[in-house]
Amino acid sequence: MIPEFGLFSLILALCFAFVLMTAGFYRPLAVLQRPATFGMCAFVCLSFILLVYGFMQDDFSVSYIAQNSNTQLPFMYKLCAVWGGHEGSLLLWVFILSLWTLGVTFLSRSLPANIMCSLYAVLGAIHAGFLLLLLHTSNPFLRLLPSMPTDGADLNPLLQDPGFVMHPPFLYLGYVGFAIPFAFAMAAMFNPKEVFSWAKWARPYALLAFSFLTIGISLGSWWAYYELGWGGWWFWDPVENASFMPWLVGAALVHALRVSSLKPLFNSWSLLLALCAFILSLVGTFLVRSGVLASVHAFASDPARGVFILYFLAVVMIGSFGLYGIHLQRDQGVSRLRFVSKESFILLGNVIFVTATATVLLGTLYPLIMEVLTHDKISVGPPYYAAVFVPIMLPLLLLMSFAPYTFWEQDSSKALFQRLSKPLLLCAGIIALVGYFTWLSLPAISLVGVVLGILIVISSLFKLRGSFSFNKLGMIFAHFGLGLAVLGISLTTALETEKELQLAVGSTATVANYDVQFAALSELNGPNYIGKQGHFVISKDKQPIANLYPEKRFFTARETMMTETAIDPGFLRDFYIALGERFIDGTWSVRIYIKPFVRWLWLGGILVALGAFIAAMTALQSNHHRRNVV
Amino acid sequence: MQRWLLAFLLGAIGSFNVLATEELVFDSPHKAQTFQALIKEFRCVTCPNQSIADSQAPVAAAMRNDIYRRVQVGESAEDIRGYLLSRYGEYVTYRPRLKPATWFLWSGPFILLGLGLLGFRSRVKAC
Amino acid sequence: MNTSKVGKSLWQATIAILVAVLLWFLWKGLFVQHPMTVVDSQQGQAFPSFTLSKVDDANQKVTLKDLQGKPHIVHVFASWCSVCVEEHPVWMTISKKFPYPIVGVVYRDEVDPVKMMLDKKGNPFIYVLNDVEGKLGLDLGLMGVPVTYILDAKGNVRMQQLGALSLSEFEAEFVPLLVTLSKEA
Repeated sequence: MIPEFGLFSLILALCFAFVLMTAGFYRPLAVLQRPATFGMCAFVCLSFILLVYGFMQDDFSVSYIAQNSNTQLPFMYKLCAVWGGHEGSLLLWVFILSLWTLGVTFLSRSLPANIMCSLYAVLGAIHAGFLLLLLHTSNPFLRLLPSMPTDGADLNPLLQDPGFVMHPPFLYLGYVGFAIPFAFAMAAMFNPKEVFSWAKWARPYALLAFSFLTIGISLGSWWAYYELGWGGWWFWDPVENASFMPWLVGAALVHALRVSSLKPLFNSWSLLLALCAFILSLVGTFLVRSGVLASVHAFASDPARGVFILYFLAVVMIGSFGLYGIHLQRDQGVSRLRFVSKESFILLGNVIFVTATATVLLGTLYPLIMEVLTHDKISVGPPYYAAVFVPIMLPLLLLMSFAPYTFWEQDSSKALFQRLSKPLLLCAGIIALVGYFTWLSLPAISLVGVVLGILIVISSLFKLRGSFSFNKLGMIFAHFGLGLAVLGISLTTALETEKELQLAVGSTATVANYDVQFAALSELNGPNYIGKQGHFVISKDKQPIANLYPEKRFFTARETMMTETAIDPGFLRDFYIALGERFIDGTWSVRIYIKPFVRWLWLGGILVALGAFIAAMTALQSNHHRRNVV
Repeated sequence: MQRWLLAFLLGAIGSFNVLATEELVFDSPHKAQTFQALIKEFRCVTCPNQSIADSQAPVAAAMRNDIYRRVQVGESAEDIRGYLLSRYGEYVTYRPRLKPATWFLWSGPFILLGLGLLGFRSRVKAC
Repeated sequence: MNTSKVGKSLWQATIAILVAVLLWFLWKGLFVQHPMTVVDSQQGQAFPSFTLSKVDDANQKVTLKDLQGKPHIVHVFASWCSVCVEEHPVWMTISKKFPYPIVGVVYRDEVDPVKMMLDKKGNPFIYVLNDVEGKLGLDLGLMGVPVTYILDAKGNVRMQQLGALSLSEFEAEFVPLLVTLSKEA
């Protein structure tokens, strides 16, 4: 019965969504919208909770639960098995959309009625699209009766990990969160009188969504690093790119909105970015679930789902860009900017962000384009992005180091340079120091990255001087974080060591300046797996500095073998060991990595998210304050 | 039962490595670097999306060993690429070859940047 | 954005075109076919030359020349590949029903598991070659196992099937070609 309640809740939620949409066209119904929103969100939440309940109760009569869970699965993983497959993760998507919708409903109570009406209608429409997708092609509550299996197929062992509990929820909080600025942009275009105020209302949500997406991507990168066993943290895989594109546009958006919320400038540009951020999220959803691109991440594909998502995507794209075209007709002329001004530099940065996004989109879709046009299969991977994406981003990084020091509206390059003189001096000193230690051993591109990273980090820190504002603090955290990440990326790619060795138990190898001893091998017995665990001791100059315990796990239900890497994390370096195969003579293939500064990448990511979060809270508070005062 | 399965599986996996040990030794650091760069460039054709450097699949191992042999013998990176591309087609390389069909892929981003900068200039007064 | 009317129209048109192009490619992408059977009706590409030893006798070597003179079926498989093991009975039936010689090639496999598999499930092959290093696989551009090739009398590949074969597929697609090739030889 419970799964049927879950399904029925989704149908009810869909009905409420239709009410929301209809009220958008027929204004007298607008009074129904607030209760309808509560109804829609409540039933979506109920449906999600019922699916979770089904997992907790090991209800294998439900096909989705039988495919993704198992009686022996630890409790925490039964929870995240809910989003382990396509249907459940889609329900998570709608659940998070409902949470965001409730958030907007509570926090933006006092906006003009016509804006709220359009906002509800648009959010209702997005809900309707996804609910229809769920009900029509991806029902998570489909039953297997009458022949119900006694036990489930178990969650994919690759996903049985704490990282997986957090990565999709944060990622979705980000992706889906861009629906809110999207809805605000649509509402602004539907109500031209309000078209200049939307930016300050939408800005906190854009910042919040960006913050969550940053965490989601950082978590994904960190998780891939320790889970997949090859020491990499970004592969430019289509699914990774699908989350990165909204991030890039989101970064441009939050900067454009900063300007648009302060003055009547960049309004149309901000509208366009808000539309694009969410549409890229939808494109990403399509790419990941339609089977159109090959990826380790992709869900099992089904052309019917792909077709449905594409129809929905087409409706959203044509509808929103069509409306934008109409908006452009109405749009008055715009003033010209002075080159040396904060607005101008933000616009320049935006141009680079958008170009970078287009680059990633081009690279991701090109194999598809080639196959459609010529039936030739090509692959586009890390070498392409390293050659194209990185050079495009470098000027942006440079811009980041001095743009925050530029005055609004009008400034002079001489005055700007004077303001930067102290930080530049310190940078020069640090770069000279770094150069003294590493000059000859770094490739050119890493050197550029290190210099830019230092510039950004130091110039952000110097911004702490002067008047205090939370907004400024948010900016400092975010820019500092990105600088740190750039430093981490540049240093780790240049300085990392990787060795694959054949070791017998008891033997020692030398990697870089460290001694790695394969001390012992023992048996393993887990809740739903058995295996072997190795003990490695890493020493330098005869002093042991780290103990690592990599494992090889055999999951009995799915009969698959998994490698658990062992990592000794450190602020300045990671030690990383993964067990490979066992040879007939009893020796083991072992992969040993030494990765200097790799943690700076994720630390930077967290700081960026923190900065955006602080700015979001500040913006929310100032919106609230403004309304109360008025 | 489970222990037997594990032993069998470990043994079965271990048995692939009859050929070369995975510790690949090179005559010179230059050769080692060439090898490392090449194995990151090529795709494991039986995997959803992995380079042959990261994949444990048999085809990937065969390719790595072949590339190792060729690098040791002194073949140039271009020759090795040529061989693999002639057998597998463009699909096997993660760095798309520059040919008329991929001109847009390689130049598009820079053209777009140029257009964006032109647009930016039209918005900005010379200072 | 742009102040001029022309600029505005240009911008609107660009957006419209980009949206249309993107949607078109995504739509087309959903229906791209990946044919499993590839037929080379003209000359066919030459099967790569090779020298491999037999699984049951490491001293006996076989080269491409031994496959010339009449049409052969070459089937690449492995004992570690579950799809190949599942498909094996089909080959037993084929070998009993049709007169065409089937050459087996094991890809990156061990002699003992292969012998075990053939003992247990039967041996439809005239002989099985051991591509232990995978060199023939590389020369063939092997994308995975199982793969089946039809070679004509000159040693050129006239048809290849990626993945498992069913008896009905074999009878419908492979047999007619084999009949034609046998007449030519």
